[in-house]
Amino acid sequence: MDERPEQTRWRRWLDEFGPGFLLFARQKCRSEADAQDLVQEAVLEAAGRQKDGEPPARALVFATIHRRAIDLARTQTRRERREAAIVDATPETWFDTLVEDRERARMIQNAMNKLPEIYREAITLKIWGGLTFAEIGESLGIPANTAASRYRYGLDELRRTTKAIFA
Amino acid sequence: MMRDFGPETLEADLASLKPARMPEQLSTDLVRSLARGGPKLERRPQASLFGWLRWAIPVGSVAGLMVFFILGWHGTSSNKPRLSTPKSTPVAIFKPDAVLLSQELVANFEAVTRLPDGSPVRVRCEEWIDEVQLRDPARGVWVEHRKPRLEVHPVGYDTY
Repeated sequence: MDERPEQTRWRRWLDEFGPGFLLFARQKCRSEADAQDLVQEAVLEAAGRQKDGEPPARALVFATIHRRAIDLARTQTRRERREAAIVDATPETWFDTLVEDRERARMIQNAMNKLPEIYREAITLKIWGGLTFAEIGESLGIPANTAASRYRYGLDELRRTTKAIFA
Repeated sequence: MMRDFGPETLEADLASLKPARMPEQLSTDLVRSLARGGPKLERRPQASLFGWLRWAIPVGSVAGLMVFFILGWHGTSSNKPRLSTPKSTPVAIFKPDAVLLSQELVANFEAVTRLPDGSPVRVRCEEWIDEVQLRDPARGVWVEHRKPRLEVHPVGYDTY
């Protein structure tokens, strides 16, 4: 079925920025279903705040994902005590890769998973979210300088980890 | 494969990886909702058997509070004989029509502390204020509760 122009516009926006939103959400959630719900709710909430009907700023969507993930984590901590054996915790692949790059991508994903969350989110927002340090600061509620520091420390940590893997 | 792990090389290495595309169903659902201009959310099927508790508990709590206030109002307006009590004012039902929940980051800083064995560890400290506001303008009632919270995140074992 052909899409309306409005739908085509939104699909192009999602094709370009959606993967970054989903990557950020996957790093904050314990299941793929929660990550996808988080993206859906955050995108709709951010879009709902736009009075002009234009797509929302990426920083706003990431900030909404970040805030909703905090709320979800608090709820899940209580819920997981009851459902520990039931929740599907199968990790999803974070990156689209060719066959020859799949192993490298998996190793980087594992190394990213081992980083402290404050470093991991700064790296994700900078490299795959395409945000400036000022925008990262707005999204996470921290000064831009702190965002830059976390990014640098995170890269240092990641470099040490990946050097040990690839050496 | 050996790589030179300078900062620029690592950044380029990471940037060469593309985040996985969104699942087609998620993308389609979002496009439809966004083009409609209204956030009609359809939650995905939860793997959890207790997913309904996520809304049943808060709804039950609100219902319990309403029952409490209604019983309290009926109790003060009943014709039952009272024990010797001084004149009492009727209990008004509190109906907040504005509820505000917010979290505010008021400070964040890094510090170095020591583990029980004496080894130093660097921590990131974040001071938050959790705030709840309930307002009932019709009765001139405004309830505000602010609670400070300190979050401490271990960052690393190297100090500088």
